[in-house]
Amino acid sequence: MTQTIIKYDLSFTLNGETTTVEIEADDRLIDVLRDRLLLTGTKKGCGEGECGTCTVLLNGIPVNSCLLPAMKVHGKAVTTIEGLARGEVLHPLQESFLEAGAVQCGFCTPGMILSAKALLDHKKNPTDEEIKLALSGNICRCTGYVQIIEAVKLAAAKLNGS
Amino acid sequence: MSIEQYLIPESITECLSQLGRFEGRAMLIAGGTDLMPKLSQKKITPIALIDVTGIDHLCDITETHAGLILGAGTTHAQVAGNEMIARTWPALAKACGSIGSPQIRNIATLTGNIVTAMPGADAAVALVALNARVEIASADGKRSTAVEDLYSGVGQSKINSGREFVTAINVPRPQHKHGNAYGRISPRNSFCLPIVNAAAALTCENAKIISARLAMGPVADRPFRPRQAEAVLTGAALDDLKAIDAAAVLAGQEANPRSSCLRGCADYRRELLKVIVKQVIMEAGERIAWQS
Amino acid sequence: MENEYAVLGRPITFVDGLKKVKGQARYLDDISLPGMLHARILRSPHAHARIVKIDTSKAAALPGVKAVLTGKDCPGNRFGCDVPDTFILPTEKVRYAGEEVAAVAAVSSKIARQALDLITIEYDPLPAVFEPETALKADAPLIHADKPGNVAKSYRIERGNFARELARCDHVFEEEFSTPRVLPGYLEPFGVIALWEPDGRLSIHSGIQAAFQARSEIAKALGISPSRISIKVPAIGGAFGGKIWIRNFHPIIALLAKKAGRPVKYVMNRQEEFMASRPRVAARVKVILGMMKDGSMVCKAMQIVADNGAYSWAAPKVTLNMSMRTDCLYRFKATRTESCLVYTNKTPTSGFRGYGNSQSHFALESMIDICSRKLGLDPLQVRLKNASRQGDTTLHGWKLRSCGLGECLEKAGAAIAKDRRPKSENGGRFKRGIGIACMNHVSGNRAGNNFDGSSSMVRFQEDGKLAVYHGESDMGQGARTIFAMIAAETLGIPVEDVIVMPLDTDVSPFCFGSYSSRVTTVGGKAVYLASLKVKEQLLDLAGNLMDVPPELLEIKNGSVFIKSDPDRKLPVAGICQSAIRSKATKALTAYVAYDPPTQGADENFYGDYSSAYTYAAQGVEVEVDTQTGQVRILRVAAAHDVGRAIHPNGVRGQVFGGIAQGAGWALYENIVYDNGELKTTSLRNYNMLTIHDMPTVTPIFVETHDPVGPYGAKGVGEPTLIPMAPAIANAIEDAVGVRINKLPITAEDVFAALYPECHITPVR
Repeated sequence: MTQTIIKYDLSFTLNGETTTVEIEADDRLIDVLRDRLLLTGTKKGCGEGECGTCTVLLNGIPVNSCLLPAMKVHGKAVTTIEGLARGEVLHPLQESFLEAGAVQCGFCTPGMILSAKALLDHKKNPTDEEIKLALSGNICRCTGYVQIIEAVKLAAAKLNGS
Repeated sequence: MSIEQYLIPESITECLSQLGRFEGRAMLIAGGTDLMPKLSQKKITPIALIDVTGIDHLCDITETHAGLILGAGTTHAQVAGNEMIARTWPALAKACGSIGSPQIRNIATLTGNIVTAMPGADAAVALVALNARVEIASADGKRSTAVEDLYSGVGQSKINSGREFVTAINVPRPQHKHGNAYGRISPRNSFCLPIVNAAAALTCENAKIISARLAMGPVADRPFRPRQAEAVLTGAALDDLKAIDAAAVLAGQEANPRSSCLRGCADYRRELLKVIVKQVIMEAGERIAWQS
Repeated sequence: MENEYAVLGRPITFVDGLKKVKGQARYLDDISLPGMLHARILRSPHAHARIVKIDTSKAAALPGVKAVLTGKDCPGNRFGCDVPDTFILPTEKVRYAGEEVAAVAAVSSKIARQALDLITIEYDPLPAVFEPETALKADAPLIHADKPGNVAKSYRIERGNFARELARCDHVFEEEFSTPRVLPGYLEPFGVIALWEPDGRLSIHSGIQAAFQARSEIAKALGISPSRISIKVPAIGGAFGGKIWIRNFHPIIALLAKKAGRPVKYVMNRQEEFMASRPRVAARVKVILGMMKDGSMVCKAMQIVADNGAYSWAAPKVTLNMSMRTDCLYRFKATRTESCLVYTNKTPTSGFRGYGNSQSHFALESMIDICSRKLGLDPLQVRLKNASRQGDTTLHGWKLRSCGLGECLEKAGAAIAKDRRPKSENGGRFKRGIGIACMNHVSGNRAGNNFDGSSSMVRFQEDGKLAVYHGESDMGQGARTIFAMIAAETLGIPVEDVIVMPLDTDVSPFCFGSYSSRVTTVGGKAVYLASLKVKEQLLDLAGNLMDVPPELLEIKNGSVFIKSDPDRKLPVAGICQSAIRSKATKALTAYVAYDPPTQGADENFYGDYSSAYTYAAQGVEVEVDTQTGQVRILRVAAAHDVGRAIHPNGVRGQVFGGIAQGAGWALYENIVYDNGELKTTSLRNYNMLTIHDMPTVTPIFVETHDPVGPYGAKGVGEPTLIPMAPAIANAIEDAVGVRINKLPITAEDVFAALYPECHITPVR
């Protein structure tokens, strides 16, 4: 049976810039980001929403890009890890992850930082419990999370100007 | 066979007409967290996806005199973070906060939790205890059905998402002194499927329980209500520990959990049910006590 | 104590951290080559079956498919580690569900996947065996025709006279323990890109731990010379032992690339990682321990039955470690181990952080608590009384040049006993207890006369920046940072001036690989020695330029100065400029192949075989919910003899990470089969620790300054995992009085043991 696969012009704000890309109905956001837009900072750890390495922010909210039909971001804003630093100037979370030694293999790091960013965007001084809740969808196999929590607190302090 | 089209209707009418046009070969998609892996693995092969989250007001949470109206696109995160829901329907708020991960809760909808028809689905278990109903629209018109009546087997909903469309979930407002609670036991502390879960909704008059609804999962082919346990509670004093213990034991006996090499043997899961059912009854009772 | 070093022991950021936080680190799947194809692999649905017929014609005809490969296209060379029993693709029969049977390269992954569906294979199913005990039975189906009894490897190692020592013991105890298959669980799925260069050489991109071992194994499989292959190692998203050795897919994809004449990429999906990666060797360990009344441990025997799976990878070596290492933890008078590694129709097992040592530690360190309790002795004191000490030569001939076991035990014991939570709470529902376990491990591991060292090349560039070339992989554990720190310290330059070059076997010095917790110790030593040599060259030249004898010079903060007159100095960059760009013509380059001063184990496995031996003790406090059997780890006090903590932030990370994996192994993780059918096919039902499951950890560094390691350092990667499981089992007994001798210790197990009257029989 012949099929007519419709192509869509997906238009959204990606890391602050308006982006248009041609996609098909069953394209997942992760593949559009990695394969079409060559933003490979978003990682593919499991492809089924069970590890959090593919986390991106959709209108500021963390989502698994491996579970998201690309069509769902039409007209919305997506932030990937590539959108955090301003040129050479790192986001405080990126600095803090470095300073705390919270990065080992680095494969969970982009997703982890984005989940943490979503938290710090609306909570200035999160408690340990709030940090844990916000990062509970991001598995890290290397660090045992201790330095990640330290990093998030460090970043909160930086963002608060202390 | 690949998916040809992705449609984003703006109204319920438009959505229904699109469903009709594909004659059952299109599927509705809300959050898609359950659907997407199935599509990738070709477990299901629709030729079109109709995304309902673009429909106006579909993600609204409304409190009315009669209760709570959750638009079909309401996500778990919306419910888990809603203070009004946490006050009156804490079982629902907690269940919604227990499922999956923050990322999944941000996208996955309660409707999806019902329509995928998994017997241990946290939100659905709470909704059954809270006697929630769904409003369903189709080309034939509208109907309203209790959540607990929507199941025809594990993973099988009576809602045909190729033809029918859930427009809202209605959670009735408790009429008397009321308390509800939800709990789960899982192998690790978050981001995990439950070994067992349970919800209780108790209504009380003069310190006596006048109605008790319990729901548990995954212990049957659907969120399961232990009727005998409910009966034991009904009429009992709120602080009658004997009755509560008896109800918890009965709930364990009424349940029919499977022995699973991942979730534990049936006998153990029955023991856990006793613990978690007792816990949710006690918590629901405490909430009533606070109101007095 | 004042830190005498400019770089060591300081809070240096990981040298490759910046690109990782920016999302710019390139892992295998981030690499795309012009014309690159995508491969998918067809895997056997049967655990044991004869291959009757394979028809790939429809797949080959699918538009977009560029090459299809089956066993008949492959050279029939056998490869593998100690027991080479593996073919690239099988032609005759499959031996586990998940085994590679055919592969397709196509212009997209989607098309390759569609093509797999078009391959038809006729199988003739054979009886299969899934448990080692059944596989050992006389009537068990034979998995490999040339391996009678399904035995892949067996060892019998006795030191001293076990029978005689046992006869004089006041008490003899016997217990049996078992440990499951678990996955290393690295987050980046394993994979490869293969490309045949125009000159006929094969380029392999793969995030592998042991690049030079990979080169020789791929060469063996393909039947070509190792120097025709170059292995290029991109950023690695975790490995933990699971990416030491090649997989079948390495030669498979190389052959597909050859057939297609184009680069081919293959990355496992998560389901394949569960089905066909290399889990930890599952083992049953029976321990016999002979003790005196006063708590002296006299002798120990172990009988081990270990699960090899269908083919032999590292499991023979893992089983050897399992059979020996715990013998050197205490001052036993005699030890004896009989072990048997058995083929089963399951996924081949291999190494994972601990490499066999973790399995036998669970047995012995649980055993010591069981026996001490029976004798009314304090398990901590029993350990201290019997602990190996610095200066000992152990029963296996290990020379303990540094050993902080006693100090680790004392410090971890004191830390976990302090600030305890109440032993009982909530009307007795929650009970808490503490437990301790210790461990020994190695930093490198020499078999016979084999090389067990490492090589490094260090080269100043004309701008004064230092390039360090190395063949040991950084999987995230921080090898590159350690190398940069050692070079910077030794040469008196800032860490920022050191560039650790990417690993490429065409360029990098010969190294054995990142395993056996050896990289800091032997890899770091090679960097240290090479840096010293370059320093000599630099000071020679500086002496000429400054007209002073070089021995009067020193380097600090990037400048060479006269020790007696520190104001007279020259910047390193300037000296390098004149060395390289002037007639002075100095290479300012040193290549050092370092081999540690150890003799290696002989054919009876006797001998001092590791550059340094590591010791640790971890105390754990747990809380048991007596209504559900659930165990929560509250606190861990982890004391590690690391020799010297070169990169404290890195050591902390190793401690926390090892604890997380050890706790997962102890309580949650398990590759579950139901009558041979794999049930854990997704992270959905394989529970690694989340951030909510992580206990509070107090890391304690015990610095014994090993005489061989660079600046006294020893390895720490594996040791952090090893004591966790027994410490948890011991703490559970302390809390609720039940003893679980198997892993994982599920809530169901604890519940069943707490309430025997409930007759709970966990499903296995």
